[in-house]
Amino acid sequence: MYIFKNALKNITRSKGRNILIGAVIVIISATSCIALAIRSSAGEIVSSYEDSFEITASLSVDREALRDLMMSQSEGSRGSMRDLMAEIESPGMAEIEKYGDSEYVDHYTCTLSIGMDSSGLEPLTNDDPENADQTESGAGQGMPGGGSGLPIERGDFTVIAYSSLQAMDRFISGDNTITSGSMFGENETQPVCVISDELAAYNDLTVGDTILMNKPGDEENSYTLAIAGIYKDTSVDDSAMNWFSNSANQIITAFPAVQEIAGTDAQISATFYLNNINDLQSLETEMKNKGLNEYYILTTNDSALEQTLRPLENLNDFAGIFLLIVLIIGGAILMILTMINTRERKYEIGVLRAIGMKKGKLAAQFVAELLIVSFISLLIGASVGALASVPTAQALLQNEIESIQNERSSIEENFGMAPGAGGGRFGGGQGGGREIMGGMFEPNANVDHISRINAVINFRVMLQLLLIGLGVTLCATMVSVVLISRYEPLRILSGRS
Amino acid sequence: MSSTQSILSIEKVSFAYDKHKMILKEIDLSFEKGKTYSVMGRSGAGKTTLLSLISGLETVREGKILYNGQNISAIDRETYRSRNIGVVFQNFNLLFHLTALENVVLSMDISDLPLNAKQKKEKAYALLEKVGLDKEKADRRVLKLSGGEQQRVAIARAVSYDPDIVIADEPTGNLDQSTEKEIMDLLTSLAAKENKCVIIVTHSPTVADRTDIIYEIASSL
Repeated sequence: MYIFKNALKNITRSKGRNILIGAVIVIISATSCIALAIRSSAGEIVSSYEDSFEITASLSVDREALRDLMMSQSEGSRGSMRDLMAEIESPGMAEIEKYGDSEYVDHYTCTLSIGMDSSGLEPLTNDDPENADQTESGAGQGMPGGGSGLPIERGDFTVIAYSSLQAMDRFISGDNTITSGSMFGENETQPVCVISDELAAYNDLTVGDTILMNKPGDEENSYTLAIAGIYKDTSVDDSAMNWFSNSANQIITAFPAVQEIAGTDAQISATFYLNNINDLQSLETEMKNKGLNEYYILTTNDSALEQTLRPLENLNDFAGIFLLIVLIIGGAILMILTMINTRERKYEIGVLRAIGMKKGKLAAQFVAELLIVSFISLLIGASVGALASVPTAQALLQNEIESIQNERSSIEENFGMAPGAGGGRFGGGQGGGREIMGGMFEPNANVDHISRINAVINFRVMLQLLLIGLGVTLCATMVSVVLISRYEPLRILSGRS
Repeated sequence: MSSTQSILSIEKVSFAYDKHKMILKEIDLSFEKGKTYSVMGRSGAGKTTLLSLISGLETVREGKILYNGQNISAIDRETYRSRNIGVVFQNFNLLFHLTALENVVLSMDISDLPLNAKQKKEKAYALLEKVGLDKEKADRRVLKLSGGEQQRVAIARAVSYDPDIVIADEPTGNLDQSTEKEIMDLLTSLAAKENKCVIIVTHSPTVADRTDIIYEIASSL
């Protein structure tokens, strides 16, 4: 008890010194508190976002592996990449169903597409008519998963069908909106379709009209599709580029209709919704065991997740490094101050030891003094940290987002575009706390950066702060303990006399 | 002199700070309760070293010092210093940031005297009054007391936990004659009235004359 009483007496006796020590601890605890709050909140947001984020995977040809295969062939017998890709058998509906039946897959959706011509319908072209009848690659933009990447038959139009409304992510996201008529139902069996407003306007078509489609080179067999709805692509920035959107010549129809038209010629693209991001490799292995061609790989949209969380993870890393630096520098300063304090009180130590105070009790008194100062300073520091953590975290996050935006602007400038003019290619600007990244560099990454962080002090942060404070204080008191144990009272007192 | 009747006995104690300079050589001394002793000798003879050995501030390497028949090397020296022996240092060695009263109470705290805070305070006031310091002076910081008064505080502190032995190193060295007399009265009364064994290290024949037994340490050089 007297140790505690003496400790209190000594604290009030050496106000200046203890205020200095207290100030150091306040700075350490306030900054630690902010860093811990940021880390805790960022961690929770990341974890919760990862839980709620739908991880999708789609099959695509492993072009790199194919290129390696091509390069390994002798020059004379070396075929083109196109030939090699054509040799690879793409998975059919039966295989997709087999792959989708997996413990790693929550559910899956499919798209069927086929290139077609029309005798009565004029396709939308850009200025160069020679390129109007070009080969489409993949299932076209907007198709979930991006398809296998295999070239499909030539045709002016892409007729596409989704296995469910859930797969029409452009309609779900609002990029496409029906402006006239309505979307047909999921179980539609009639040959109906939905076309873009650009195509409708170009061909003077309205809801209820019919269009005649045929496979390229097969004008004898034609298929009639009734227009059930007309949609507008709202993601196209008219002012940015005077191009027709890539999906303008896309005709969306019901699944059975494409199956009937295309038969086995349809390009199939499947999107698998995974239960867990870590299951990707296992699913791919399972698919290969089920017969998937070795030149197919599973690709995910995890880059979108990474892009979304990047500022937050950067902030988390920054807070961690900052915390470490503060603890190292603050701890070192505290140890030096404690060492000076103990050396200044050498005489007191000598007297107390000479009149019989045990080393342990003396050390306990010094530890108690520093712990009392630390505890008070910790409370002040935690309060300051609690007040400052939210605005500091917010400012740091905004700074991080700005930094990423600047990086993107710089890339746009490299392409000779005004910052922000990238439009659909580089993503839109910032609005309502949302920022979209992606486009050309991240084809599937329509990313919402998390732009708010509520770095609040919770019980866990307080506990961590308490442990850090205790740890730093105990490290500093070790200096006192070591010095006290080394001091011999007789040497101190005789030296003084 | 039989060591069994002694409260403290020194048996064949030799001490050297380094191998070539022997300070004390095979010293045999014995001390009893109720008596005052003076240890004399010229400067460098080892008087203060002897005091340090007796008080457990220095470790005995050759020979042994027995307190109540028990070798002090075998007992906890801090406990020995805080309960069994009271030391009045030449430079008093008081804690200047504390009052006279607090110095005395702290000593009682360290010795784990079985008294509550109030009782310790009352006892400290009584002790300080006994050595000639009234309540007003007892509540002063020791820096604001004279040399003689600080010496009295040191004596009060040394006897505060009722030790069997009180050792004083040159207790009158810095004092005027009248204060010297008062301090010596105090120390001798501790032996006569309170049955303490009082050992005084001194140069002064006047001080030595007031003790019951005088030990003179011859220089080992």
